[in-house]
Formats: sequence, structure tokens, C-alpha cells
Amino acid sequence: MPERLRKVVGILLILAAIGVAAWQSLLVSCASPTAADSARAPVVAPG
Amino acid sequence: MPRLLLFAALALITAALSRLLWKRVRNHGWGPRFGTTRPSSVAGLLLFLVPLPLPVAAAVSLARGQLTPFLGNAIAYALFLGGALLVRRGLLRAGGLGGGHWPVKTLGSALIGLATGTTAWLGVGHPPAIAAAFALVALLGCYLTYGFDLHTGRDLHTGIGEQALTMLAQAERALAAIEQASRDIRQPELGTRLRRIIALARAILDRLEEDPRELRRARKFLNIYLDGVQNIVEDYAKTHNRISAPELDERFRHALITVEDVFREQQQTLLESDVEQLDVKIEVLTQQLKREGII
Repeated sequence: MPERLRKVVGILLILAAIGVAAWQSLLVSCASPTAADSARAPVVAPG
Repeated sequence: MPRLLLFAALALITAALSRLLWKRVRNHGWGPRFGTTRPSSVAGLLLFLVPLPLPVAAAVSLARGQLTPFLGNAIAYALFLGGALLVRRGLLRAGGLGGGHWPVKTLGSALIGLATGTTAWLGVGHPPAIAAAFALVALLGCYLTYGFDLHTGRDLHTGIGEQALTMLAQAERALAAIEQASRDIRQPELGTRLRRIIALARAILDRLEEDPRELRRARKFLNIYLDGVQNIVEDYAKTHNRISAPELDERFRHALITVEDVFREQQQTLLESDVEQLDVKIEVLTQQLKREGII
């Protein structure tokens, strides 16, 4: 893989993983407590 | 409205912290240098910038009394900072000599991966398997962008001696200190002269890093001249800011002219040694060709 392409892919992966995780974490923190709790609580099927 | 104010305050704190971090990075000579081809400072900064929402998330979690997300975000941010610093140090070592034999880029990338996983797991609340996937993607991203340096220690040990490494690292530090002090000197002519001296010293150091066998020849330059220049430049920068003394300026100018001459001579000596070596190689090749009956 050419050097430049490798770096571009690497930067995209860094943005995708770290950026998404960091912003998601901020959004979850800012969401209402109920929404944040429901996001963290495991989904249990009824019955 | 209170939420907006909270956000504004947090944004200000983050901006202030970023500025502090940037100042620290500059003071340690991690920025771009005169006349060099060191790694770009922008590439390393990406790892400092991307996780910036995390301290905000940690503060919001703390304000809301959510312990687990707060701990997750705070620990993850600390890991991110540590990892980014290590990767940056590794990048600088790849371009010059940062000292130490640890594979710092690899360790830094591992920390970044761990930090991403922690954020996804404790900060966001993803299941551990998904968090591990986040960590792996971040690790892969670091590998593709910055590479790993698993063999650095072995290569350095076999390539250059321990003492030579120390000497070069000290010289790098002296040069960084000279650069730092030269920024405080406001006189354009002296500044230009200093930049020329720094460029010459940098070229000599680059040459010595490429071919450490020349170190013996340049020992005086490394041990005496660079330290001496560092001392006078630092002292002059301090004094010059407090008082104006034309005599002192003149003497400093003379000292810089002498230093420039000495550095130029040193560079010439190293280049001449190249010519001598080439001469010897040509002679050997000629003898060999004669023996073979080719000429």
C-alpha cells in the first residue's frame, strides 16, 4: 500500500474509532439521566 | 440556560488546557525546527485533538453524579494523553534522537487502543466485545499512521554505541535550548545570524547521526562549542530583555561571527573526510580493476 494512502486510511480509522467513541461518550453524558441509563442497561426481551 | 453556561465554561477550560499543553510542547523543543526535515508536528497533534470531547464528558458526568462514566472518561483521557505523548516522542526519535531505547510508538499506540476501549466500554456503555473492536480499530489506525518501532532498541544498540547516543542526545538538547533562547532575541540581525548557526549545527548533527564514525572527529564540537553557545545565547537572551547595552550587543555579535566560522569549519572538515574516504574507495577500485586486467 502506498505510504500516503496508508496514512490517510490510518487517520480515517483513528477518527472513526477515537472520534466516534469520544463524541458518543459526550452525547451519552449530556443525554437525560433516563436516556443515559436506558442506553447502558441491557435490553431484556419481554416474556 | 444553565446547561449552556456549563458548556461555555467547560469549553473555556478545555481551550486553556490545550493552550497549556501546546506551550509545554513548544518549550520542550517538540515543534518544527529551523532548516530540518523533522516529522510534522501536525501528525502527532491529531492524537491530542481527537479525544478532546472526553474531559468535557467527564466533567458533565461528574456534575450529574454518574460515577462510572466519570471514571471511565477521566481514566480514558489520561490514557489518551499518555499514549499521544509517547507516540509523539517516538515520531521525534524516528526523525532525530529523543533518547531512550523503548519502543515508545508501539507502547503509545497500545495505550491509545486501551483508552479507546475504555471510553467505549465505561464512557459510552458498549458491551466489552464492541469496546474491544473500537480498541483494535484505533490500534490499527495508529499502526497505519505512525507505524510501530519494535526493533528500535536493538537497532540503536548495534548501530551506534551507547556513549555516542548519549552525546548526540545531549547535543540535540543543547540545540533545542539555543533555538528556544534565540526566540527571545528581538534584534533581527542577531536572530538571522543565530538561525544560520542553528542550521549549520543541525546539518552537522544530521551528518553525525547518519555516520556515527565521525563522532570522534566532532567530539570537541559536541562537548565544548555547542554547550558554550547554549550558555552565551541563553545569558544574552536574559540580559538583553532587561537592559540595553550596545557594547554587549557588539561583543555578542563578534562571538556569533566566530561561532559561525567554527561551525562552518567543522562542517567542512566532515565533508573533506567524505572526499578522503571516496578517494580511498576509488583507489581501491582502480587497483582491483588493474589486478583483474580490466584497465
